[in-house]
Amino acid sequence: MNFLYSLIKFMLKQSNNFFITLFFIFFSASVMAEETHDALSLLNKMTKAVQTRDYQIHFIAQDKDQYATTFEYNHLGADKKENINAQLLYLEGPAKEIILHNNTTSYFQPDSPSFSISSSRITEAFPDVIYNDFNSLANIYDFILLGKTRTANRGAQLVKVIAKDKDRYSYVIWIDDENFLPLRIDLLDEDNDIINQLKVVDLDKEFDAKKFKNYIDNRTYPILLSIEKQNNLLDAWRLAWLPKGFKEIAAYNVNFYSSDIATKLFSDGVFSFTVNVSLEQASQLNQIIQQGGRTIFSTNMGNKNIIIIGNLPQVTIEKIAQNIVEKSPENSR
Amino acid sequence: MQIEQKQQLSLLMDGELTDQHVVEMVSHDESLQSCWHRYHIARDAMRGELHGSSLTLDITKQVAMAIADDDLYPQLTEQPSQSEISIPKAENLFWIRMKDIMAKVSQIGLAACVTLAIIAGVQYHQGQSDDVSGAPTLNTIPMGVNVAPVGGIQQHNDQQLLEKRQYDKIRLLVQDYELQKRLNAR
Repeated sequence: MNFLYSLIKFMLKQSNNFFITLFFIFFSASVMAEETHDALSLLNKMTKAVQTRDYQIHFIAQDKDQYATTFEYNHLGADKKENINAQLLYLEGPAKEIILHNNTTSYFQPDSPSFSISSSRITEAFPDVIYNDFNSLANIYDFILLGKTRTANRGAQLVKVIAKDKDRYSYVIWIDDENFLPLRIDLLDEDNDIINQLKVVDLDKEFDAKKFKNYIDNRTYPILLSIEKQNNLLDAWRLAWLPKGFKEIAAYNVNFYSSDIATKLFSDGVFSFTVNVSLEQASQLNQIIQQGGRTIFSTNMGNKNIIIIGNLPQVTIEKIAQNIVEKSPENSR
Repeated sequence: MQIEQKQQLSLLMDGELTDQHVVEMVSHDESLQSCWHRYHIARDAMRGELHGSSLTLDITKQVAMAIADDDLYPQLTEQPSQSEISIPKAENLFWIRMKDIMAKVSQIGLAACVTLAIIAGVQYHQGQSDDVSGAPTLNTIPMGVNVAPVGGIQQHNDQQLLEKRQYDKIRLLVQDYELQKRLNAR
């Protein structure tokens, strides 16, 4: 009898522990889920804000161990892409100016002729990571709220965007508490060192959107340089492995000294790289150049020279290079 | 440079001049210093005492000059007014226009390229003098051979050309990468 009593007591105690454990598991899981959800919705709000709001910011951009450069960025937001207008001014050196109007980006510079290309964004301003549907990235990236802080005289929330596979660099984005604009964007390498940084210095509250619109509308724009679709692509290779989430965005040939280099562009929306395969070998077997977030890797393989350029860590770039396979034996020379 | 000064320099070299004034003059005048340097090379060569190891051709100055010439901090050129900015013709000289757009791009492997250009320049120069002189009165070839390993490796001309071409290729592909990123931006 005594034994039964103690057994029941023991089991009760156990189940109590069990329930407590269970409670904590669910609780922490739901907290984590909530945090991810918060971070995710914050990032989505940021993407929307950066495209739909009217704003003027001054910012500094800097690669690791390089000099900082200063910019002014004016933006007229819209729901439709073709209605977005923006202007980037280089505040130092030659007075370069880049204007986005009607899905066309025009480059003005004092020392050479200006021109336009069809591009829906001034990529010199915010990096690719800012413009994403973060819901679709949730399988590949983790979004972590790091807390609150202050920058550019404004309150901000810190969100870390980091690949689940840890084969990419990561971003820490500082998002404005009120208008959700990105105020600072740090690109971190594997050791969490900042290798590129964009930092907003101030957000001009007296930005005269009407005056700016007037300026954009009355400007004369240089002719659009058309880039023709190529037909006879050298389609001799493919990648046996890609970092998770990367897709082929474009394939084309680049002409160099009357020989063609077969090129493909890949991107996951946040990072990108090109693979370039040519027949002319380099004198050095392996070459690596790293500059801010950009890695350039050249290697000889078989009778070919492979150059990979992108904002990925060296390890990942080298792994991509190792996974290039020729499509069919007839193609190999 | 004054002929007079050169004569004094020559006298000083022969040990026939003990005037402190000349020494001071040389120490303040860079062109006299290089002249002094050259005289010594000439004398050693004439006496047949010249050998490669004793002579290190001073290219640090050239490297420094090349770097100084390089447009790291682009000066403000004449600034045209908005209305003057020319609108290009319809010719599709795409790469020419793209050339300097992406400031970052143009700095790719800058240091490497500078070094490369200087090595190539020196070698080219010596190659020429090689053809012209022919007769070994002033045998300057041994030192030429020793000039190459700035990067630590002895290379042949062909190889340097190849390397230059590789850098050109990388430069083009980086520009192309930047262009494609813009064309395919979402």
